[in-house]
Amino acid sequence: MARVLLDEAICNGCGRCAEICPVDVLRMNTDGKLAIVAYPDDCSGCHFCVQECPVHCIEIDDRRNTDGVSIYDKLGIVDRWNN
Amino acid sequence: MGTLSADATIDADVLVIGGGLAGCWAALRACESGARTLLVDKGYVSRAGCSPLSGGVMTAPLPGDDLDVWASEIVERGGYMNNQDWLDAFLEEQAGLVQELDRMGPVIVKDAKGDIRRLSSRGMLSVRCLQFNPKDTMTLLRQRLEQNGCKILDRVHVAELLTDADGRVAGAVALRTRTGEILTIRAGATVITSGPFNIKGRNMVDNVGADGHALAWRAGADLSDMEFAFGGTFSLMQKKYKFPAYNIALGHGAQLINAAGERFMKRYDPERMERTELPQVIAAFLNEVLCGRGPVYIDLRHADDHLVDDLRAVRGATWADELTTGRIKDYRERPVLIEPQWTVWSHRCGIRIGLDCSASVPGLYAAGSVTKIEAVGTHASAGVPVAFCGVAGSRAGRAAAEFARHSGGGAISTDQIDSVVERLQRTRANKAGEAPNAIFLAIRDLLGTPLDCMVLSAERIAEIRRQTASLRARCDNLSAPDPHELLKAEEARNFLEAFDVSMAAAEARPESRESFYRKDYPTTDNQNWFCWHLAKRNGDRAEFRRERIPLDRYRRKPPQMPESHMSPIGRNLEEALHGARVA
Ligand SMILES: Cc1cc2nc3c(=O)[nH]c(=O)nc-3n(C[C@H](O)[C@H](O)[C@H](O)COP(=O)(O)OP(=O)(O)OC[C@H]3O[C@@H](n4cnc5c(N)ncnc54)[C@H](O)[C@@H]3O)c2cc1C
Repeated sequence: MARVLLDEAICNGCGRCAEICPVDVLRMNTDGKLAIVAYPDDCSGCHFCVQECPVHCIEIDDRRNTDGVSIYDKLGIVDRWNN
Repeated sequence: MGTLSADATIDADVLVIGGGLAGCWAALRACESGARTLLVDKGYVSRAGCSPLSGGVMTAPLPGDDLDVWASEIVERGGYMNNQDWLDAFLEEQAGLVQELDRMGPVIVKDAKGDIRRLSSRGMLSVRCLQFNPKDTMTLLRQRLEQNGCKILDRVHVAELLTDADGRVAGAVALRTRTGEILTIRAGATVITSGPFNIKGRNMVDNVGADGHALAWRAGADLSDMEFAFGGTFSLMQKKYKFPAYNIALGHGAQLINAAGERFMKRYDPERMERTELPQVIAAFLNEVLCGRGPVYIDLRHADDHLVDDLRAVRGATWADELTTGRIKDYRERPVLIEPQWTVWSHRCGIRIGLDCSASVPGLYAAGSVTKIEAVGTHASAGVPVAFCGVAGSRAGRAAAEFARHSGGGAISTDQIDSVVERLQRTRANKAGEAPNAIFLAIRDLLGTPLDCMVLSAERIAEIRRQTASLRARCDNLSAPDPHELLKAEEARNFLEAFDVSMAAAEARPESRESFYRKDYPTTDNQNWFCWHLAKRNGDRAEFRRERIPLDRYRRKPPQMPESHMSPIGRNLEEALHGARVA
């Protein structure tokens, strides 16, 4: 699961992100002037909103893939190179 | 009668469900054939689904290529399990589609003379692929559809297909995922193009799951080879970073090593090493880990200097940044921990289609990755899935328009509509149930690590089916405070229904073959299982039948076929499971 980080101070309310988001995580607020992260748990990390935001107010944190089960954890195997 | 009926009704000649590459091509051809065409997508056509995210590698025959040589190579690599009629049609029509795509104008990588520059497809000597920009292509296709008068409805999820008194598919019930409005769509013919069998949370395409498989299944259509639902890559490194670029990294000199620093793939496939088929690499990974030689690392210490630039070119900053911003630490100094996934992700199984893309129920058509890609056998070379979308989408759109013109769409009983509306409303009204995301988390745990789903057996399959049944029971008590959650509740139900068919198919197949492996039947049994394995719904159960592959009629035949042999995954796991060290 990824996280959408939206800087409301920069958002210009153009609505493009809410129009295109494939999983409908981004919506416009009730008066339609600001984008909001309506379903923060459901971002799939495609980055389309980041690519299309004209004022660069969106970032995605998708570095954790902790939603998978690690075989190393399961079998108690430890990293030897301290990654 | 009709007390629950839908909020609005829409009429169309052709309904297309899902606007990825396959759905857009299908809708375009239906429009060009003069059909009133409705394309619906639960996301947004041009950004939803796999298509805009694809790596942009596409099988690309050009004038002068000897397609017979290509076909022979694809058949050989496919273990002769391809539908060769489909394969010939696919290559021939794809040659025309490449020209059409080029005229449409998305970025296609070209050489200095302006000719399309091609690369060899993974594992192939003759087959060539072009590289195109998938997101641009989807934008252009959407524009083309609008210019051709196609009606596009975004944020519309199809919940159920409807049939008329003669058993023809005659439309669908759908949910507007923002307003909650329920639509009845009456259509002369319906095309399912809802994308590959996929589990949420793993492949960046969470709006694609198993809706289309489940819709077709409930409507009585045949599904094919469903046990081949699993696939894997090294795309994920679970711990602290994400680097889905295994193939690209290999191209720049990356190697896989075990904890002792040994390039272990030498022992499993001395010739192709890390480039051998992915299921076999993942089996080798498992064998190393189970035999105490893990963890496994990707060694980028000797990768060439273009790695970061190429990553940036393909994916913008996201993947390159993992290396350059220090999330992956000192990749020039030390090996990087890596871990594969083996999960539901497949183009190798799906709705059974004929040469005109008809499913086995009248009025229903399917194209793209929701179908079993008939042209390929056990292995699809890189670039086939996106190419197949164009060819099959075109065929499906034309055939559906033709069907709608002559025989489509009788009256639909209100009972059918009411029962779907009732199902949707019940979930909406349930205030005390579980959230759908709880089901997706439980599915994730059930699928576990590659160890849990690559190494199957009668016991393991029975256990998976028991747990699937209990998750399906939990789905009866989901609550959805809004239409967004209702959509996810529907997706969870559909995924589990299709997944159970897949596991029933696995249960019915006492052999191992390529990516499908059972440790209780580790050999490939050509005498009994060189066939297509078809599933049909009978009440709540799946019924299976085997269909002979008509090799006698096909032009390309195997030199000789052993009656049985050790399967490749079985061979690579021999040491871990039976204590025999591989050579
Ligand atoms: C990251 C990535 C890289 C890839 N790289 C390559 C590559 O380089 N080459 C290659 O050949 N293949 C590649 N593939 C595979 C390829 O992209 C897909 O096989 C192909 O795009 C599938 O197209 P499609 O039209 O069948 O489905 P999709 O493009 O997935 O579209 C399906 C659409 O259906 C919609 N939908 C689903 N269910 C419903 C419903 N119930 N109601 C309404 N709408 C619905 C979805 O929202 C979606 O928009 C890649 C896939 C991924 C994820």
